[in-house]
Amino acid sequence: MQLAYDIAATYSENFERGPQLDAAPAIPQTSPRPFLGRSVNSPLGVAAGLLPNAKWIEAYAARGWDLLTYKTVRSVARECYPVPNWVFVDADAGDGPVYATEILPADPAAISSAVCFGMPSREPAFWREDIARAKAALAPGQLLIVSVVASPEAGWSAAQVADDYAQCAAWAVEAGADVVEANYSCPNVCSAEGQVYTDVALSETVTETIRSGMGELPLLLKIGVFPDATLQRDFLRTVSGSAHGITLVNGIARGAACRWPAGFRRAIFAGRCVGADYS
Amino acid sequence: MRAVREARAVIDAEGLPLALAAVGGVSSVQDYEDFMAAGADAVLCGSSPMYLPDLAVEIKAGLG
Repeated sequence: MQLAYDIAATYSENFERGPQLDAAPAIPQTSPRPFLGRSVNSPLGVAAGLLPNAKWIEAYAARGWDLLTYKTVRSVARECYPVPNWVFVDADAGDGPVYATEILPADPAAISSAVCFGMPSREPAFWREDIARAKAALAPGQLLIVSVVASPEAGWSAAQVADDYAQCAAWAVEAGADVVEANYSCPNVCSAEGQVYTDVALSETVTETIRSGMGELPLLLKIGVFPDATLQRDFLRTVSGSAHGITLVNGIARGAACRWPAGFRRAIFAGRCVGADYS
Repeated sequence: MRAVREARAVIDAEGLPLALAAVGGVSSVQDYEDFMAAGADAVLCGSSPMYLPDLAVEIKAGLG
């Protein structure tokens, strides 16, 4: 079993080393198809989280993944939470307890894990150049999606949050992104709403601000599951004039008790047991 | 999967110009096909590429 990321090593060590992979296999030919107005080899890719720099983007592009998402970037540097920050878990598909484990199933398709990085980012001076390197590594029919998020300070207004998102988006476009994905599946610091996407008014402000600074390039909004159908409809209606699509994270709440290694923070589940992001 | 179907239903019913990329729990060819059948325009894998780096090859072998 190949494990591209060494969960025992720090995020920085994995960042610098690149993925631990065997030689890339031959890639099956596919017929081009449209996605976001572009012609792509396939509508299959890697979500924000696993690919933190151009080395990782290039390695996975070479293995046939055609929509490559550059891990979420910020307008300021942010450290990753320390190890342990990615653990494999033993969990079923129900609501039972979740346990961290070092024993992996024989079938890698049955693996589940929990990740908590805290959306780390290098400083803009690094990632603005690295995104250009990532773009240069892609073949025709592959798209570079760059994930961005705001880094609000205490007391920021909605306008300031929007401007911070928009700045990151503009820099990503300038660096060569084919698509920008704004991460709205993150805590909302401007109101009582849990996450940005569940605050329709804030989402409208942020989306329009981002749009105004990125020309005609496609904009995706990364969101989670809505608490009710009315909110979902209102959100989709509101953003459809400014965004070109949504990245919908399929997540299932695990309310049961969990047992984590000492030091592991709030977890986001991924893999077979549930699906969620860890960007 | 249900979230994808629900979002697709709203997008189609309202005629909204929004693409839908699905993320979460994709570890097999069947998972990919299920998400596309549910209405996704694209599928982005979160954690599985870490331990299934050649899942793309497996999925694309059946795409044509």
